Amino acid sequence: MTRVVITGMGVVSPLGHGVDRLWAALCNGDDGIGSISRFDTTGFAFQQAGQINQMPPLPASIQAEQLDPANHFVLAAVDQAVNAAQLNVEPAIAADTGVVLSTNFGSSAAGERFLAAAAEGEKGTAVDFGALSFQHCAELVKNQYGLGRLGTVLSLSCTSGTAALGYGFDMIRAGHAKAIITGGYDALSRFAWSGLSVLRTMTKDKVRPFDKNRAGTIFSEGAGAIVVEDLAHAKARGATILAEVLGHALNNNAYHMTAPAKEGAGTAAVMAAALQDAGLEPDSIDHINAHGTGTKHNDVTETQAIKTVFGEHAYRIPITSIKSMLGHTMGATGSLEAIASVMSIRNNVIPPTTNFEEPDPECDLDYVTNEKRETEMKIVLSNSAGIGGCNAAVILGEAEK
Amino acid sequence: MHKKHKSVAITGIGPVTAIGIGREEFNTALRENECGLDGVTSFDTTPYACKNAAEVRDFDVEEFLESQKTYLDRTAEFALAATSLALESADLDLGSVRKDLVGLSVGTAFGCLATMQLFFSDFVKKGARLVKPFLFPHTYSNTAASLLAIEYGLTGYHANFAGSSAQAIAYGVDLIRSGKATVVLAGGYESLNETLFAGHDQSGLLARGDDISTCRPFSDGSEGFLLGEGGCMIVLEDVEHAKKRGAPCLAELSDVAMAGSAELIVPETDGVDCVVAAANGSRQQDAAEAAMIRRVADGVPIYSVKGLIGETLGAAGALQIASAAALLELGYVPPSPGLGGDITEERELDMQRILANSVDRAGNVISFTIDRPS
Repeated sequence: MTRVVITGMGVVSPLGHGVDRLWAALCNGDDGIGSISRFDTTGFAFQQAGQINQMPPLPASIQAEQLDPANHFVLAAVDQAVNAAQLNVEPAIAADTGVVLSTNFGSSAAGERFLAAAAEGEKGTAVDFGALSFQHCAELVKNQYGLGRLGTVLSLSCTSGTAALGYGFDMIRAGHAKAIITGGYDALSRFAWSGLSVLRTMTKDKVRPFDKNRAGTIFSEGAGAIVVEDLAHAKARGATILAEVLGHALNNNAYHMTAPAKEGAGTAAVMAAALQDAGLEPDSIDHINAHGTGTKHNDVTETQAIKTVFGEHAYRIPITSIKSMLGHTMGATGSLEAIASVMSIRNNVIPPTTNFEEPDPECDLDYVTNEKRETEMKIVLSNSAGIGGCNAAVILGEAEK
Repeated sequence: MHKKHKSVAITGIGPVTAIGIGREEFNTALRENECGLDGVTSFDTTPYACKNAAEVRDFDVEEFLESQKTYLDRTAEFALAATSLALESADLDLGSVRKDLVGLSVGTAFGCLATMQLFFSDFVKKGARLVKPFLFPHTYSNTAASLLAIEYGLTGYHANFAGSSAQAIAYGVDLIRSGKATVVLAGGYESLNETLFAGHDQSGLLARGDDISTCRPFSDGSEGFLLGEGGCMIVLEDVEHAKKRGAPCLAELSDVAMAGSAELIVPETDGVDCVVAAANGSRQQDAAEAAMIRRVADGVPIYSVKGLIGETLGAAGALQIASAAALLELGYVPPSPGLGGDITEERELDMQRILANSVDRAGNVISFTIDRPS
């Protein structure tokens, strides 16, 4: 069976751009939440978000001023990942390379301009309309690097980033490609905010995953890019291997559009399926980077699901939620959490779940609260869930020495 | 014959199109060469240069529902109807199979665009306080995928491509080959609405005016394509699993080739008897596909269904496969409406293998070889 490894990563986040900057901020327990200035928040019930205040640098060949913010995030994160991987897409290997992105809202600033014009009975522009097809962002990446394989965009609500990584992994295992740039992204927009504000999942307090007084999540924006590659291909070109992708799964609760399934059945099933895909026993997992949104329901059902799958071992697995610092970066969350997981493996450090004050009797596992923890680890599971009952899990392992 | 991978059985096909709802109606309409393109009736086309599309008419989603719904976007309606029809065609009782081994892999280019517009229009006109909360979960690209999972209790592999059903079907094939699923409900859907029509009209991609003959696949004289709507779900099944339950095998999907452009694609084309082309009347895209066909399957008859059902975007890849399966079953290549350039006359033809092409908005090309069941 083809083995698949990670050879490059890129980050655009409210806690800074670049993998190292994000990692330092996470380990330090920094707070990425602030006031929204991207759009006028008059009339909205929630005014706080993890906003990107300083746009990330782009390759010189890209005209930044014409870019939708979401596309800007993606192109910047992807460029970091491609540079880190030292992946030079020569024409000879173009046909073996592709891009897999995933998002909830796509290039929403441009897309919502078209919708706003139509609402007023006016004609929007063709360019803005093009943004309503999420595929156009993959097309930008494909053209920027001369990738010959498919430009794919998945949309699986807040499992999107994890799904992109898993699907890229599957594409390589199935022999469709040798190297794939995967990435999850989303940007703050009026469209997203008008919907997310009425979903009854956000809080005006801090995000306090697994805390008894947790009151909800806060949505954020960003992009994470991860280059996955056939191990043999990576070795042959002398690439630095950051970690190995060992298994993944995607499923659905098949229960309700917005309510979580009872006792986290779907989350348990997706973690079990990822373990099966990786050919691993539950007790091989050293750390879980949880979805941990900070909502009442998510954190308790995710805790229950971890107990279902891991039994007694559940109490021995250190768990964290970086959403306490980053907020919930929507389509980017799975990518950024996978990147944090890789950094945990490489540094033997688990970043903290901040804002934790009071333990919840229903959330009684080993959460790494308020301060980072140093611990040896080889294999990490990263979990995601999303609206519509989507679940995803990916298992990452130490690079072969 | 050289074969790298195991074939996957196609045991059910559920098309919802302007020319027919359900496999029998669809196949008959292809045989009869019925055209679904007509003046748009669901909204006023006065502001637009284009006037035509292939609308699904006389469609009532309630005929296909397992339970009543409080709200459905038209795209989700097509998804639910196509899935119901595909399961019926496959004679598949989901109660009799392991649900966790039933995958769902679907695609849609613009998802629930009509509901996005409805939801956001309230924001624009009335403000953030007066949006309708119940509409928001129905605006996602993967709304229909979630509704399908809920409707049929599909707890297995789950993927939604914000693009095309061809990508979704290709992933479905991989899920069966890798043993992650024994059955995959794969396909896609797209609905026509004024926002979709206005955007395409503004982009200058559509054939203009009242006359539908300005849309002519593979023709130098074509002025663009015309939109269609609908959905199509396909039941992909492990061949052994299908045999064991005595399922009707409608066709076999023997291979998939994918590339970022028509210039790069090299599908396995041994013994191809016919090509169901993706050509829709866009001159540049059609020319690239014609060059690809000349390179890999020169001289075989070419069929294009888009002159009947329009460009159905996210639904198109699945409908290409439904068309290929229909031609294999009919033993007949119908005349291709509007086809210019390398056209072929209609003919009776005993075919073993058809190459079904799909091209999406991002220029991705996916080719499937569809074989007569062995």
